[in-house]
Amino acid sequence: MTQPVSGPITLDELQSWLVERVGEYVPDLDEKVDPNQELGEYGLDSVAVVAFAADVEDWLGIRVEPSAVWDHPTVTQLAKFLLTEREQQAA
Amino acid sequence: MRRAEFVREVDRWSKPDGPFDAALLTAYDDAESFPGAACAVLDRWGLPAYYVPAQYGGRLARFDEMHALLRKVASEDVTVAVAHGKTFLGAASVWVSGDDGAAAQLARHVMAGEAVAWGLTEPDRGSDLLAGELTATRDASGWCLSGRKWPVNNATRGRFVCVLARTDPGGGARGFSVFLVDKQAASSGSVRHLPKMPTHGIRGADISGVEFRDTHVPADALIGTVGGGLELVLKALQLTRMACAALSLGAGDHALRLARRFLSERRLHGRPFSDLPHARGVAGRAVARLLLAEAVSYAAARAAHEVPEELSVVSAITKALVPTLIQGQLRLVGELLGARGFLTGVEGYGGFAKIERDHQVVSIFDGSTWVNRSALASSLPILRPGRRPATAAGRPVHEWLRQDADLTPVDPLRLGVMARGNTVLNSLDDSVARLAADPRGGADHLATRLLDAFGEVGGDIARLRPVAGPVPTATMRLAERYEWCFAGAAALALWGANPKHHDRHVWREALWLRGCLALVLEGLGAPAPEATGVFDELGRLLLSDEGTHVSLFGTSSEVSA
Ligand SMILES: Cc1cc2nc3c(=O)[nH]c(=O)nc-3n(C[C@H](O)[C@H](O)[C@H](O)COP(=O)(O)OP(=O)(O)OC[C@H]3O[C@@H](n4cnc5c(N)ncnc54)[C@H](O)[C@@H]3O)c2cc1C
Repeated sequence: MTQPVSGPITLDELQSWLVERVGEYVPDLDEKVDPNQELGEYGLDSVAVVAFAADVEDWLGIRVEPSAVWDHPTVTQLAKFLLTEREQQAA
Repeated sequence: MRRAEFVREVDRWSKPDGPFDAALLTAYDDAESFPGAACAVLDRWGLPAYYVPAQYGGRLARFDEMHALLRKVASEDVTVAVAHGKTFLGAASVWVSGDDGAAAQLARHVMAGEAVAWGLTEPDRGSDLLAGELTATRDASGWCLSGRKWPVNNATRGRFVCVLARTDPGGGARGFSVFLVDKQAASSGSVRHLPKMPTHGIRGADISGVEFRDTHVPADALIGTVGGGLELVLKALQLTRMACAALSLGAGDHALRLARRFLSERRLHGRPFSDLPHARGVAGRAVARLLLAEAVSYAAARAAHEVPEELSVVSAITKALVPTLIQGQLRLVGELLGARGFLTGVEGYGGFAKIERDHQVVSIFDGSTWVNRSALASSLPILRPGRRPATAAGRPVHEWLRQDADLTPVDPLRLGVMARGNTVLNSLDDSVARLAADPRGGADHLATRLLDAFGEVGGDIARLRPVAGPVPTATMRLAERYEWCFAGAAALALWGANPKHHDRHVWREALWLRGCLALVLEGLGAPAPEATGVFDELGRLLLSDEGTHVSLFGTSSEVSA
């Protein structure tokens, strides 16, 4: 399973990790995951998203509600949110 | 106290010419008319107050108590329980929203006997909550609703209907909101009722629909936040799905009464029918199914108080498993009754076919068995053994499952849409160890088998690769195995938590526990050869004096709540 990250992380790293994860959830996808596409369009909808949120939790070591994905439905938006969240939860 | 009194009252109402007289309720069923007199006595007794949380002036302080009352009603008539209990389902979103103003206002109406319907489903949209097309748009002083909800229980009779409406034309997880509509306050002609549907079971219930035609509702009809509807509904469903289990338990109680009577009075080839080992075995299985369903429901009702963060998973398990257990129990009783289960005019037994018909709806509405199982399946990766400990450790399970335990008041704000742990299931190791220290009747061997089986389930979960989109069949089966493990863990935890009961009838020699564990192991595909005799023992129990009220904690009237 995912090893938790410790120490600082950049927005870029966060974003590419998310892109990679989404790719794993959609093994049949031919093209690259578009960070500006809504995750729901990859089948990561309201229910399927809980496991995804848990993955993010494990990796970043912070609490992430599935509703965070509802509120920030693209990789780009989610990455920004998670970065701030991580700083705040670490503080 | 009130609970014992309620049981006596319902028994009294069930006498000939009372509002719960079986002949009368059958006549209503035949005529497809609403059992109004039965609902009216429940109102007069004050049952609606148990649908209202104590903090808003009601009597709902403990879910196990509310469920026991609903179970009692269902044990006489499932249709009445569905028709009356529906108000709790309709109101649940309001209680969960934490909107004190709206809740206080609705509380007064519910306690005055007003029915509240819950409109989630729309024509041709099925179980998909995000497919709804009923829209709410802002107008000058509130909102304007248009669209239909159907089929909805009490849609016509209920003064209030709580609806999930699309507030963002694009939809999505943040595109829906909940509204509580007072139909009486709507301008005339803007709310139309869709006619009652003929149904296979619960024929007297008001299964109809409602159509809003640019219906204006005030701003305070919005419950929770704009866009918060899905989250709110997912949380409310956690409470209502557990209440549905009470309907199943009541149906199971009723069926066992008929089975007991039949076994005791039927003679075959000059001997009592109950001399047939097979008949006793089937009856014993029916008993075990009811007791396992009770153990799951009991643990779930208390989990709502103690580990509400985990309720998304606990309620999905309960709603998937309990109605299924009882459906299987009814099938067994039906086989036992033979022709009497099929003929509807036979004195004393004519009601069986109605129980079976009525109960079928429980595994369909409020999220079908599959809908709940697939929700559980989506959560399995989070529940894999060894994932970092979820929540801070609270009270130990063996404390809050003790029959006379005080429960932590319910806090809806602790509900969530993603359970990070499963306290009941995680107590399995501990429960098995307790049993090993004081083994009874060989139950400890069965418990060890369960522990092994759970180890395998855990291994399969750890290997699970979550994928987006529909849940694969293999994962659905894994979820089902997980449900069985949960049921076994709940039974073992109840055993460990209640040593005071260990010498009371159905607890003696761990009889009920062995029956439950035997069923669980069968469900897991690992039947225990040493357990074959337990169903015969349970069948004998049903025939004994103790068989009048088969339940883990004695007859409800013995309980001094
Ligand atoms: C008597 C009665 C009373 C009702 N009362 C109400 C009420 O008060 N309020 C209300 O809102 N609705 C009510 N309903 C509607 C009920 O909740 C719906 O029947 C339910 O939403 C499912 O819709 P559907 O049967 O069209 O099934 P569909 O969603 O079309 O499902 C078809 C099949 O697919 C399965 N399925 C669906 N989704 C999934 C999934 N994600 N994974 C796996 N399998 C799945 C189902 O189990 C079913 O077997 C009532 C229905 C009945 C019959």
